[in-house]
Amino acid sequence: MKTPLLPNEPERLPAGAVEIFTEAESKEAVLKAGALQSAILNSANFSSIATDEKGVIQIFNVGAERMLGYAAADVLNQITPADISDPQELIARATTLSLELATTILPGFEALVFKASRGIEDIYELTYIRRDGSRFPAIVSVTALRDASDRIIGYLLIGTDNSARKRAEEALVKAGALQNAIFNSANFSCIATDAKGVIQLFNVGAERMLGYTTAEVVNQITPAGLHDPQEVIARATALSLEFATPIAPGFEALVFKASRGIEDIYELTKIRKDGSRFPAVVSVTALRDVQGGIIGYLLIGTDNTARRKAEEAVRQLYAELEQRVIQRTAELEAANKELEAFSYSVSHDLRTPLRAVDGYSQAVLQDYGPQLPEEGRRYLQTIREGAQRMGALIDDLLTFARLNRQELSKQAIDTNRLVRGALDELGSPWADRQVEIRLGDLPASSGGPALLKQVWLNLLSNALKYTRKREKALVEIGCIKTNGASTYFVRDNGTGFDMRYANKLFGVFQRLHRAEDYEGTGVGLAIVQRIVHRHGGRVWAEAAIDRGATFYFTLEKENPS
Amino acid sequence: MNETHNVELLLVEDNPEDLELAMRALRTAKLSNRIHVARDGVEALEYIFCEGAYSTRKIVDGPKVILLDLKLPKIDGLEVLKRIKGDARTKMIPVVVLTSSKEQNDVVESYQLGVNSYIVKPVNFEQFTEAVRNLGLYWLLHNEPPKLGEYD
Repeated sequence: MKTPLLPNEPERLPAGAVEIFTEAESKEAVLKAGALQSAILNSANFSSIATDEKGVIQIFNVGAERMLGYAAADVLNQITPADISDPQELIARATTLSLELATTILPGFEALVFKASRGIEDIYELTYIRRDGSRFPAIVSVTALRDASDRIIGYLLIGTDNSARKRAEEALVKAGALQNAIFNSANFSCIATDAKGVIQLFNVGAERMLGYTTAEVVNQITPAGLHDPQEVIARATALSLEFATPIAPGFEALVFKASRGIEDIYELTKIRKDGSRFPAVVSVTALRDVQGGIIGYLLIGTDNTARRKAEEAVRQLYAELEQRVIQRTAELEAANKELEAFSYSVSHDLRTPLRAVDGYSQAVLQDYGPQLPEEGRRYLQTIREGAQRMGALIDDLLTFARLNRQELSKQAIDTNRLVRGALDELGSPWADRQVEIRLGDLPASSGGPALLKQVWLNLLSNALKYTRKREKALVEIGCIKTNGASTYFVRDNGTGFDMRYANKLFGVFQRLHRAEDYEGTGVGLAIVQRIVHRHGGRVWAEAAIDRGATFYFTLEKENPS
Repeated sequence: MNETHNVELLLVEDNPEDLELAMRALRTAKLSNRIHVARDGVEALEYIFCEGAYSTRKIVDGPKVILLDLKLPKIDGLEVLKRIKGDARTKMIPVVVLTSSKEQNDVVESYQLGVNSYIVKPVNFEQFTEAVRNLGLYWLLHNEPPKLGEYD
């Protein structure tokens, strides 16, 4: 055995002793450092990854597990941090470091720790890749772990997730871009003032719109000088009244509402440097410091000329339209007057000669009848009938023509009473006939009483007329509900008609029977239809030859079934 | 026929045929005595207010009733009616509008002006005769008018 202590090497302690000493010291250090280390190691906010000197992971803390999605067992003694880093970035980093330090650095773990291995403080940004393949930006701080003899025994990589900061940075960049875009837009005038109104910023849009350069206005004037003074005065007056406090007809009038925290967008006439004017819409915001104190105002304006022009065009169009309506109405009124004059003339002048025809024929018959042969008397009688028929035609036509001119003032109608009244009026023509009238219960309606009476008169007189050849005439009057509307009907057992010609039924002067069989002008049903239409209803008929006819009508819009 | 006093009926009619037929109807109804005929509005007014050719007449002498056509030359029937009913001396004279017009405007305006009756001349001559007879009988025989001039 060698001598344990060498007297010629007094400085040198025995190896074992040194080792013991070192071990004791490091234990103490570890104990001291233990609390700190365990705090770092257990923190969920840092990923702490320790490797051996070759890079193989030895420690993978709970923060690393959370951030990266691996369990410690998956990585310990298996991989290096390079395996969870973006390979492209590793290559780039290796290239950069190789150049920087003039030595070849491999694009693997070495690239991550090279600086640290040289004792250079190293904090860098790196994209880590999670177990599921997703990525996040991390800030990584690398330290070499050394033993007592300063030999590198491993590396510690402490990482923080940088996503949130990255996002905030990006948002800031974007917001800045937005601000810049707004401020540099030529379509908005952006004018910022200090609290007193003196212009501090005047963007390119303002320069274009107003014709001033920034230098001409900044620190020189307030925006009040760019507006129509009369309008500023008017605005100050209006605001003074509204807020019951005196507001000066200057800059204050422009920003008063904004200064009170009220959203304020208004229209004012702006005046350019050359004195020309244009309507602008101005939006005012107070600029505040962090304590909420007002440090200035931002006035964003848009040129409203185009909209004003469009509005003016619309106004003009309306005015023209109105004018045209007035003109058309006047034309219509004139036409109506003419029509009235016409029908007045028809009413008066056309019947006068007819009266002469009839009257003189009658006079001849009365005075000279006995001297005339039978034939002559018959001729005169025919002349009279012709005149009277024409008189009836004129009357019906005038009634028909008047329907459109007559005002329709609707009121509640007791239909039962109305129909009984109509039957009373028709009473005499069928006194000598056997007529059974079956009058059902008729619901009340709404309409013009005289017009509706005309409808019932015409339908009922038709029913009586076309049952004339029946030994026992039957006229049924009733009401059914169709499609939610009251449908009144008049049914008879008379001569009916051929449904093939039903479309002609309601036309003026249209008849489905010969005059010698059933007299008539062919206007009655046309009148019925016109009145019913004016009430918003409809009229139709069902019939068969020799099997009677039923006329239906409604007076209101039906619901589509 | 055109006596200047005690005229009972003033017939204002411009159309000769209508006039002849009206006279015939009145004759049939035995009402043709003491009728005065005016052929236009001006003549009617002169007669009623005793002016011009009729200045020797007295307003209080009548007529007892006026049959008035509306469509008349010079001054139309509505204007004649208005003057009669607008004058205290004549407003009590019954006026019957006898016309071809069925126009609602004419009917309404006539009544607003104070017409006593409005009759549309039918084309049928028998009906016309009947209408004339009835109105003559009513206004000349049954109706009891106030004496003109007593309520000026």
